[in-house]
Amino acid sequence: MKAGFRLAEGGTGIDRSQRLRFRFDDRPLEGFAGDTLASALLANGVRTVARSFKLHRRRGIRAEGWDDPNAFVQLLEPWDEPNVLATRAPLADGLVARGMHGWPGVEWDVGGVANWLHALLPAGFYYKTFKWPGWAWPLYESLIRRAAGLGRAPRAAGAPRAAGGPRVERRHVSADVLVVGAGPAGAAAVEQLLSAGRSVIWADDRSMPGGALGASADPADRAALETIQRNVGLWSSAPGLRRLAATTVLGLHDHGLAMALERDGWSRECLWMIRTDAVCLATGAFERGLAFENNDLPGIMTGSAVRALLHRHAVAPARQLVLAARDPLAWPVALEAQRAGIEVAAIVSASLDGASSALREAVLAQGIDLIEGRVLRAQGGRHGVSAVTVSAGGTTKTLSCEGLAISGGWNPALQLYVQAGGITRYEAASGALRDEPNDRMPELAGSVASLASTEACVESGRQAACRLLERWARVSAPGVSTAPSPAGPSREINAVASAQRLPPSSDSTPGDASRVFIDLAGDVTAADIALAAREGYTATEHLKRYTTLGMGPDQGRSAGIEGLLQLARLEGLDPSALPPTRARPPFVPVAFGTLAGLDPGPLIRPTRETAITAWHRDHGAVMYESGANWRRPGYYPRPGESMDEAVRRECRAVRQAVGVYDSSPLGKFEIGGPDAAAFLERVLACRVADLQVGRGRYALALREDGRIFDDGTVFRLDDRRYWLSSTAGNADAMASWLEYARQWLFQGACRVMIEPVGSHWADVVVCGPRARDLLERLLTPDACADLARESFAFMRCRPMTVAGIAARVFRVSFTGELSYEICVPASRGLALWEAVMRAGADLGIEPVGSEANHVLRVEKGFISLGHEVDGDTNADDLGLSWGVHWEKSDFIGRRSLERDRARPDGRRHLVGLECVEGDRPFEEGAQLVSGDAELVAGACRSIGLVTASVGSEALGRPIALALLEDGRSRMGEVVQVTQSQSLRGPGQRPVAGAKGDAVQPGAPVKGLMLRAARVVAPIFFDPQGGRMRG
Amino acid sequence: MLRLHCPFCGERPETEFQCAGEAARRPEDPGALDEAAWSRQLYQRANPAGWSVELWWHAVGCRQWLCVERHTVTHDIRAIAPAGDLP
Repeated sequence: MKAGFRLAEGGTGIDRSQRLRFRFDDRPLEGFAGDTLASALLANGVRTVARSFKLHRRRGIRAEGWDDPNAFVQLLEPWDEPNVLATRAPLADGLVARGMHGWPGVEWDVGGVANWLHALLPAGFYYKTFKWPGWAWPLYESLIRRAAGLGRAPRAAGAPRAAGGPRVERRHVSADVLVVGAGPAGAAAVEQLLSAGRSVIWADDRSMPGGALGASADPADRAALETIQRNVGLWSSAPGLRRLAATTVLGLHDHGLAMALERDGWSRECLWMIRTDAVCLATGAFERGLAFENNDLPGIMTGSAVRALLHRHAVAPARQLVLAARDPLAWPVALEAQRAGIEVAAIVSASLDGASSALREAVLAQGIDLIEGRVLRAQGGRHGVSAVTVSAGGTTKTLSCEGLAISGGWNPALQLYVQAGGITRYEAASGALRDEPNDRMPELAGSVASLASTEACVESGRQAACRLLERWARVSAPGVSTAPSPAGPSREINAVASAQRLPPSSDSTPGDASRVFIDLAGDVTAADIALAAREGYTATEHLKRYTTLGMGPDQGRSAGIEGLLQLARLEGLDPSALPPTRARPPFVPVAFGTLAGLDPGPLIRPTRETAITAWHRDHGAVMYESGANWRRPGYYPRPGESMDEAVRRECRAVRQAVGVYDSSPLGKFEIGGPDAAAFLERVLACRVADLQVGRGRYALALREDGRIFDDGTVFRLDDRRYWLSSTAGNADAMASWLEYARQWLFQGACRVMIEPVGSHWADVVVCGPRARDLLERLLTPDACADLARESFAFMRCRPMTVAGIAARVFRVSFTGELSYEICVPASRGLALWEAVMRAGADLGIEPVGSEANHVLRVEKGFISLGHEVDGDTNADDLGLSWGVHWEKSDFIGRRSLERDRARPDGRRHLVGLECVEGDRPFEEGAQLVSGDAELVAGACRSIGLVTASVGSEALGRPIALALLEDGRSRMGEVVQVTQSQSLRGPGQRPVAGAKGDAVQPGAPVKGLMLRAARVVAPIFFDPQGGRMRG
Repeated sequence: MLRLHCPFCGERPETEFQCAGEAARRPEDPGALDEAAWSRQLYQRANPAGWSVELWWHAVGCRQWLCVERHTVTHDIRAIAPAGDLP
């Protein structure tokens, strides 16, 4: 350990008996247990811990805690994680970290050249420079992405939480009140609330209670700290209190939800989801810096950081120090530093007003030079600040120093208050942002409400708790938990300690404005803010986005107010008229892995499986997402078989022998009750009441705007019970829709019960010319076992016993073949499937995936949701007018459909497309454009699109379905279909550009080629339907 | 995240529900509405910055549709009732 920076004694937070070894930028270093990474680095004399984001300037430890804009490091051990704040990272044995943004390291950084080019990199540089020419943007983007970024994302997937990272937990808790902060104000509020019998969750981001008291040398503060520590011990068994130490509240959300992150050293993280009725914030305040030239040099840090280093960690940040303060409030830190053995050359204070004579005498007695003036500029080199130039009484002088403590006032930590919806504004009297008291918002206690002495903070905490108790007393009706309460009396606490309020920010900025850093995290200078103001970005939210002020990893904790004051000064405005930018969660950086927690990968959104999924996998099916989180078999390739070959084989089996597929994901509903038929008549476009038991028909469900919502079939099971099927992807939406209709649209007028039974049943569909032979082999001979066409015709259903299992068998067809949908209880699905496979072995049975199903339905012109049903098509567009029964009375969609019927022209109709030349299928989604004349004129307009395109095995050629404007009147016409250039084949021509270019054969325009297609009827195979009715 | 007090299930988090927007009653006889009135019925909502009666579906609870009177600015909830019990 390098001598001279660790003090010989003291340090309330460290344990000198435990030495910890760690590495920073490949240097082996040593610290003590209880150190933060920041204090250990300073104890070792490491001053440059990072390079700045844009200009790659050297940056050192700046502040004590979460307000440090500089000390974000890349952690490598115990796990890989960027953006770890050194001032809040506990030191651990074996910890390895690197400074961010420096290559090869922060000491020697190639990117440092940016610092000398800073004049070329003003605010808005990227916006101005890289917008022209438009085609070059991808090139610019790749360069900018390489140069930008904050740290490096962990390399391993799911790391660090999945791979060697901390154990991540998530817990949900609730209580009456959440108190944030364990300083004197927070502790007093907790005491008051507990004594009133309220349950309290008490979160504090330090492991030790006491807040800023732990960094104070004042005997009264020490006594207050001991009281808090004693109370925490006493309360450890209090039933109403849950203390969350080392827990940072990340966000306050609606209806009393808070999210907090507990970090237990480097082994465990817990994400707490906290619900409370009320929140009390005792979050303290962050010390502000000062604006002068080179105010970002390493060795310059806030007075509170110096104090914390001295008292918590026994680290001297420098051997010689100058203190630059706005007023005497900050002077005591110079005395404390002197007592710790640091040579304090001078106190430079902008104001001497308010200094007690005792304080003044103590300063002079210590031999500290007291200068009324301001720092103009800091000078320094590789080791950080080495001297400061001070202006005092019209003269300037230069003081040499190794460190510079700065204090420019205090910013209350109102971030959580703003997140909760609170309004803040600048208050001239205190020179800081203040909350606008609002009874709905969290109560503020301590220095977040008003900078105050320790005793005043304690009193403030008590008062905040009392105001919360009054709120509950006012809310008499507890029926709705979130009932608003009238605006309460404004807080009296702002009157406390008004004598200690600070003057507003300085009225001008000394030195070279392009080296005066307002936001160190984003390298935003006073010159950048001036430029933004000149260019009209004078709204605070615009200024933020144009200059990136407050957009760095510290989210403006150190800089937001300073930027607002600069802008107000430039614009000649009263800063209280400028709305501060909004703070948003998370309050501190949090890893995605922590938020994902225990649910990484597939656990975060589980996939659905049918009773037969395991069989599909075992038999080599290629499984993929097929809507609503179902993974269904796409096709079953045999060894060495391509996808195309497998799909063709499966198609042949269905058209020539028999195929079987797993249709279990289909939505299924049982709808029963005395008004079941009347209800279905109103939600479906077809008649239902006239169905006889055991019969069914094709059912379209329309939206109220007349467009198709879903299609399926409806069967009558018995007198008062119906079976409705919906598409798999829409099953959940259909369940919601049916209840919406029953409960809201028809106001419960129909006595009907709707039961979604999709997951109760496994559906096995047997289809193909040999399907009847197969099913007959499996039936138990009984009265229902007659499969003859006359007795069990198309669109009938019947209970049967199939392979010994009680089943409902439906004669429906999605392939255009003779087809039986066999539904059995889900628990018997696999048994049925295996029985079907065994029974069909000698018939040439093949399991069929969704790819082959797609080919077969396109051959038949059957519609599919998401292809032909695109939210804009109605029944007539798709040639399904026969499915809308106008003779019945009102049904959902009827009123809108009447309007469509009155305006039939120009609608897109479902048509078939055949290739005029070539044998490659069209691309699904390709646009249709009309004939040559329009193309030559350049008036190239889409008249439709290809909705489905397959290579038909049955027909031996490619076919497609399309939606085409007035398509039914264009039968036999030739239209042009766009095609990606990559698939260009013989006979294909380029499409004209949009600006009226004539066609230039052979020259691609906008990357598209054209191919001719003939418009035909949308049924390619068995147009009479004899096979499926057979 | 909002908390909704379902009249059937009690207080539940927003994630159990789906919001279907402003509640618009279906007219008894849509055929009696002219095109302008029907267009308003289908597409036009008040979208207030203030109190609004919305329909929420307790999707992973009781599967009941609820009328929720919510303040769109503050997220305060003034009343929750089974669909139809609120105007």
